[in-house]
Amino acid sequence: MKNEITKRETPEERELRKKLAELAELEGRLGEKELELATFRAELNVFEAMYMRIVGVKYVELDEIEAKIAEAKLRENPYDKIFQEEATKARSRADESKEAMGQIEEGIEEFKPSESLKKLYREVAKRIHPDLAEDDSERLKREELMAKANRAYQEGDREKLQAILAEWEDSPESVKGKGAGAELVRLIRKIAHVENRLRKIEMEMTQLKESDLYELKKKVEVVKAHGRDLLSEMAEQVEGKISNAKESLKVTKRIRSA
Amino acid sequence: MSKETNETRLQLIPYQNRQLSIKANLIKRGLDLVYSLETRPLKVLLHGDKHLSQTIVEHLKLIYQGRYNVTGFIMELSWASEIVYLAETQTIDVFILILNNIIFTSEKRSSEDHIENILNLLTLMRKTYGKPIIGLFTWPDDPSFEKRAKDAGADIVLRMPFKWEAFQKVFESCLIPQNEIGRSKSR
Repeated sequence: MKNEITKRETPEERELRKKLAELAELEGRLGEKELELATFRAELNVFEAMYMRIVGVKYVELDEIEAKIAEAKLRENPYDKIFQEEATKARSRADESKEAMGQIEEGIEEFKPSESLKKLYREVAKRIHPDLAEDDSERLKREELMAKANRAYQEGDREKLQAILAEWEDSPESVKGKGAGAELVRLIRKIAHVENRLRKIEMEMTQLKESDLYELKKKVEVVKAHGRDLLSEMAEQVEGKISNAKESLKVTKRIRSA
Repeated sequence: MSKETNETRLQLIPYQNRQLSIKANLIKRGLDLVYSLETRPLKVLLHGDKHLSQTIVEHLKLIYQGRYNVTGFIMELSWASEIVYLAETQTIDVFILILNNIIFTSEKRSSEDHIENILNLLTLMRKTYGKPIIGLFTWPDDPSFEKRAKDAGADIVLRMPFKWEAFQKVFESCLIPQNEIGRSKSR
């Protein structure tokens, strides 16, 4: 007769096992969704930079000329409130356009992440996601790493992503606590955080897809499929406006000097 | 999270919002420019049934207002020679033809001759004008007719009666290649 003592699973342990499986499934989805969002954001960033370089820069030039026209007209009529308002408005618009151009990062040409880079990012997001934190200090640490990871992904920097993952694996925050009861509470909270984050990702994706930038990107892509470059055509249109504005500025100056 | 970090973040929010908003203005202007360029002439030739043609034109005008300035060239009588004449003298963007109503001057009178004439006309128009052709028909019942008409040159062939949604989908697909933003000035 065998004299074996088998340990029975306690209700807490059973629940813990279920919750762990639930969390693992959610973490997988979270990694996937974070990847989707980061890819979408990065693609929009690249498009935005391209738009600004090709079309935005023309608007900056146009706005500057229009501001000069408005200021020249104001010099002719310095006490006229309408001219004062128009000059202020035009100058502020020109300055804002210039400022917007200043925010565009150089060197963003295209974003085509490889499958292996996506896989790595998915893994990083799954492991270090801030919504898996158990306290504020851990959350802060995770947020910092996640920001670095997002940046590395957008830059296509595999080594940096691997280093971030290694840094996390070695950190004390990656070590889990003990005790079934405490662990269960932690798991329930983590699940709630992850579900909340998944909802937020969904919302952000919806907002991005409703943005003017995405609408413009889609139009550029549709036209590109027919062998045309919509951004260049738009730049051409704004150039036409610039030529007209330059003429107006000349006339305004001529009137002043006459 | 430290108090200092929280404060720094709170200070950053209005700054970031402003940055986003001024960039968004430049992007909105670009999108408005695209929309303004999209309002361009769209000439549609319809023939074969005056009432149906008028209904289609009115619907198109309503749906595409702001994007296209739709002009409908409606022909009451469907002489093949008149279709070719209008295609020759106007820059038609889309042809909507009720295929079985087209009248030919040919002496040949059999059904198959009529079908042959229709197919020849489609081929001629496709080769000469290269613009989308939507073929509507009630006759012949021959199930292969749709394929033959497409092979001859029609982009899409729809049996009547059809649902408006189906027609609109077909019409949209004809518009995509000609969505020539920025080229309208050269027309």
